[in-house]
Amino acid sequence: MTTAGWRVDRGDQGYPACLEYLDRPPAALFGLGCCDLVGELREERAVTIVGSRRSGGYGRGVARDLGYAAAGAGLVVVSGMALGCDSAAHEGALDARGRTIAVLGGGVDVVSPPSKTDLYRRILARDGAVISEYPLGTVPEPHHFPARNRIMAALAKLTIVVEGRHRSGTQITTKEAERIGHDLGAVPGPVTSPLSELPNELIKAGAVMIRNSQDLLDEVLGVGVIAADVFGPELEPELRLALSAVESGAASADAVAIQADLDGSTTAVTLVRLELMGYLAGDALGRYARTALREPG
Amino acid sequence: MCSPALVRRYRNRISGALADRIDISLLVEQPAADSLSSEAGESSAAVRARVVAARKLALVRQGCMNAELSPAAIRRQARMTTAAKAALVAGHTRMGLSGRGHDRVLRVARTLADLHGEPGIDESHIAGALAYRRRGGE
Repeated sequence: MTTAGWRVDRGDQGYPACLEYLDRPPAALFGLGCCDLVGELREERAVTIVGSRRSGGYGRGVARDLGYAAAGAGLVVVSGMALGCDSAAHEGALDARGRTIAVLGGGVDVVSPPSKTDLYRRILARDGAVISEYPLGTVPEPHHFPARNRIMAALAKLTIVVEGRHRSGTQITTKEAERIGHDLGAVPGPVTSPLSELPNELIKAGAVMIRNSQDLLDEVLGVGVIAADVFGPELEPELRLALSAVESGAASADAVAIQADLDGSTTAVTLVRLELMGYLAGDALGRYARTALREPG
Repeated sequence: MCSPALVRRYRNRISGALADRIDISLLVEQPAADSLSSEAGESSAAVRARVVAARKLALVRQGCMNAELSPAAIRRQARMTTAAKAALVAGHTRMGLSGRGHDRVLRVARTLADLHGEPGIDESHIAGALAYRRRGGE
């Protein structure tokens, strides 16, 4: 793990060319980790995955799957290390043993949010990079984040919005991507959820609909170039019952137990097994959401 | 019931290192009215008999309780099936299990196997132990 910080100024070799699309490119970039990953970044070999900090199992699960598939196909996953979707996208990329870049709103030595310290270390340990236009030691301030978001939009040709509300930080990222002529993708969500406002509207306005990993890979690499690993392992009858219950709306272990008519301890074990197999994503409160992984056959 | 934000704030007051040492946490929801009137569950005496039997299994096998096993000893006594090993690896990648958490999950899984009177740890025992650890990652 490289712990020494580095700095590249605009005009230097090692300054990402794609930042020149911006109205006011950062005068310098400060970084930790692999500086070649940033310096040699080609925007068509990267994907920015962003979304709400408030996302629950659905948004985080999808962000993780997309990060996993993108990194697994050799793409660099760019995001902002925020709670919710951003960190899930980084985690997915790391789980696929891929490389990922986190763009921070403060100095690269100021872990923000602090609860993501483990993730920050993992990103650096796996030859990734943490970058910022703010010097070491800078404490992130609210007005830094819109500026940070423009960098995320510039680093990848495609920006995917997983979840987000109107007038959110996520929307700033999409506006910037549009302005510099980069592509937008959005993950459709339930029309009754406020977090679907932004992605559903983007789709209506012509953004690429990203329903799963395959849609992402088709968009970045060309249709059918790489087939996403979309099928999970075979399911026993008990697992099938619990999965159907989640698919039809049961989110907690208790609700699944009632709907699938399983006893409490069987249900708890079954849900974790489904999570370990990749079919479900659990959140901090013990609520489960379906991932994009499909059953074989 | 407390709002998710309140629950998260309370959780955040417990440091990661401390939370890592809590082996069992459960989400308890308000029971539905009709579930209260249905037939009674297992008797405490039956549960006690199962616990006594499990403790005896552990004592006979290794001379102490599972909780008292050293990291090296629990790995030796785990006797995991291939599926259990894969599930434990998935626990690290998919559920953010820490290094410290690894051995603690093994101890709880060993106990679950003992409660079922089984010689080796299977996938369902690992999943059970992980289910008890499910708590605020964020």
